[in-house]
Amino acid sequence: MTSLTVSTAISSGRVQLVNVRQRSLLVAKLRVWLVVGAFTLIGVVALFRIAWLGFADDATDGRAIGLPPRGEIVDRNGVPLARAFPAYSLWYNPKALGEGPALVKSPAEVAEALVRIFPDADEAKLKAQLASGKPQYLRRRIMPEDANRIHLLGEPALEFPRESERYYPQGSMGAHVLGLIGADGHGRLGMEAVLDKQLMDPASRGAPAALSIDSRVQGALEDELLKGMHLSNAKGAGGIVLDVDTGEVLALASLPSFNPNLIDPASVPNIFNRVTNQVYELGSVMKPITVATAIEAGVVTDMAKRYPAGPLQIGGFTIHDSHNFGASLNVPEALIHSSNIVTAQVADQLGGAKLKTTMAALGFNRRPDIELPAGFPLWPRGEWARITTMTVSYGHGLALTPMHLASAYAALVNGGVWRPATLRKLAPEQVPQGKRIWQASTSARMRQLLRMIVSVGTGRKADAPGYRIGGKTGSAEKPGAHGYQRTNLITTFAAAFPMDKPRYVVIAMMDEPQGTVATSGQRTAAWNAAPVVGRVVPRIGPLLGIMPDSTRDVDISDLAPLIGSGDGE
Amino acid sequence: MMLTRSHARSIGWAAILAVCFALTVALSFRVNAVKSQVRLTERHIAQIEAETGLLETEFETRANQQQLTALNEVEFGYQAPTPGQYLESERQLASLGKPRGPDAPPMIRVAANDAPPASESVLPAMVNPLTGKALAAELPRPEAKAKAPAKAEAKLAERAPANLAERLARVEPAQVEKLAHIEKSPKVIVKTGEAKPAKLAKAEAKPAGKSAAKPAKAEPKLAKAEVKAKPAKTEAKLAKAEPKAKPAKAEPKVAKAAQAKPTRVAAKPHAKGDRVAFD
Repeated sequence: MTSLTVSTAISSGRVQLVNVRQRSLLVAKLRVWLVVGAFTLIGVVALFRIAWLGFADDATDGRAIGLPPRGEIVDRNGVPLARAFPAYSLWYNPKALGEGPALVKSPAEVAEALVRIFPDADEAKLKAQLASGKPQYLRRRIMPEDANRIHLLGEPALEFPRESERYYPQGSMGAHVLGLIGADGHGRLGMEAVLDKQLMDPASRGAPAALSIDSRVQGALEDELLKGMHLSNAKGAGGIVLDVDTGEVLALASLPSFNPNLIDPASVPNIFNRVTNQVYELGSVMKPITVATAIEAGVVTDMAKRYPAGPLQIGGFTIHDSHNFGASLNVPEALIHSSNIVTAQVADQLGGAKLKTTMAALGFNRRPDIELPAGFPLWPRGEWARITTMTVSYGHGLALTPMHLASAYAALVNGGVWRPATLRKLAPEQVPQGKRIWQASTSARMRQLLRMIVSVGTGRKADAPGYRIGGKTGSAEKPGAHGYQRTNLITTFAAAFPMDKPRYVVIAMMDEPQGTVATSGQRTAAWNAAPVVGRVVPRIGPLLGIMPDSTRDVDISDLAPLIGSGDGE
Repeated sequence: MMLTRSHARSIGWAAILAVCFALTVALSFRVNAVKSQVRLTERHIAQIEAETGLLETEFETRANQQQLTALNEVEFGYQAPTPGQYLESERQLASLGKPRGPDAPPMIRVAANDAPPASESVLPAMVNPLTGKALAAELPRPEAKAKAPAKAEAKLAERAPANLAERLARVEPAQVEKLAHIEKSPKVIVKTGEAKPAKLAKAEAKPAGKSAAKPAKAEPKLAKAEVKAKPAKTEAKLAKAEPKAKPAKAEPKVAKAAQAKPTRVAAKPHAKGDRVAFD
């Protein structure tokens, strides 16, 4: 309509001025409308935005902010064992200075300066990385003071972003249990690998995953094992503390250990876990299991019955003892002096089938029940020959992990109920029912016998006063290329305490201990593994609620008269 | 233009609508502001939690089991407890509080053995190897006799700690002896509190002070007497000394010295004759 007016007004010269004025007005009006329209639009958009912000429920709530990138692992008392830690890393950003050279100085000079800060770094590799001009990590997890020193180099291309790294505050303690994570952030080993899904899942990673480990017990066990290992010059050592009533592992140590915070080539061989991965012929520690099975089967009814103790000839194979214990021994004496001959005779009377059934029930024919990857036992298949039964009875011809042994000993002393071992903290209602292997009466008898081994037998070095420890030594020769090696031993001490009401099984194992001054030149379990248990138990007992008490002990008055005074009769 | 009733009403409605709309906008504004505040606070909490976690991690690292073990080996040397450190039951605990029997062994006494107040004679008293007595005790010095007690009192007052920090910083070896005592003999937990320690200190000083010049020298003598196991004599001496000390000459110093000398409180009742807590 206005355009029509304009077009007619133009025709006459008289209204020229009016037309100009009208046109200006029109333009002004148009502009006003434009501005008003724009303002209205902005206003409406703003109002919508306000309404949207006001009414819409914001999806990005604060709870997601505090969620760790990977769940924490804590011990049974809530002490953190693995957690996220914002560490600095060294990142090379060649574009920091814009176009042109990435570095102020030459790559060689910068690499040299970096090697001065990190003496273990490879200078040639650093130089190549700096010269390549590709953004990349030069180093992960650097210390704040190192970051400051890098800052002083004055190279803007060297950046140190803070990144959440997996950190193990306890250092190498419990490293084999915890394991480690790879560069992709997923667990590679140990419980990090086992719990990976739970630790990565946003729904469950907010709550820490509790292990059955007690860090104080773990620390004491590792400390004493390390001392024992150094005193006996052993190649390695392993140890377990197991709750006999629940199957929870309170401590599991394999030495030498590694530091999961810093994996270097030197520590890679130590990642191997001696306690669960390796199988050993454990030797005499199997004797109580044989004897318990014989008592259960009614083969050994009279503890006073004497067995001949001379060398035993079985089809061209002779069973010896470590030394001559006299003409005959009864069962308590055989355990106290660790007689292979008498144990073999007991097993012979028991028969291979029954021994095999019991051992299979104890899980000796399969991998140990533990979350960690574990070794497969060397288990004699088929029907056991007479000689197989006899050698297995004293711990040869059957190779097990120490974990198997710990579970079996727990069943031996807790009243005869076997439960699978676990590294997860169990609530009281989660404790498995278990399966009965021996009767409670058999277990009670075994508690007496094990206590006697420690109070008067080969385990005397483990007898911490007041803690009523019972256990059995075992020293087995390692098989080599040409049969058994007389000087390379695996020594084990399997113990439980307190024997009047067993609560915990403690296993200590030494790999190839040597005779040293500290061990009086001996290399058997009585001199290296047993003292470790004798020192560990007083350290962990009070922490676990077991107070030393010299007024209590398991009653061995019915067995005590059966023990001869000397080294057997 | 005439404003009809309906016009006015619709304008009124429009105005109310506009006001309501404005209020809604303002309210949603406010809600939004509070919401963003909450979000900021949550972020702040998360940040502080991360910081706390970092400090916790540092603490855990510095106090990890291996560090504690190393520290214990170098510094403290704590050992695992032995059965003797545990009591089985209340009955066993009560048995420690039995009154002293007629044939009980003599009690082990602990004397306060403070370091001599630093005076101009800082060297320890020389002891005659033949008689076993301090040299000063054999050669009476009359002028020292007069001066010394007053000086010793001044020193005691000076040694009284000014504040708690100073008191805690002080090493009191006799305290430890007192604890050891409790294990050995049931008759040692004594009535502490209002006991007049300053006076007692004087009382201890007096009997020996007859011959010796300074209380500092007198105390070792007292200790010696006990080593030689002559409790009866010492007791008698101290009992005699007690009334002498009673006059409240040193009253202003009592308050200060009471703090300074807790160990003497332990020593006193033995001297006076078995005022124990268990009776």
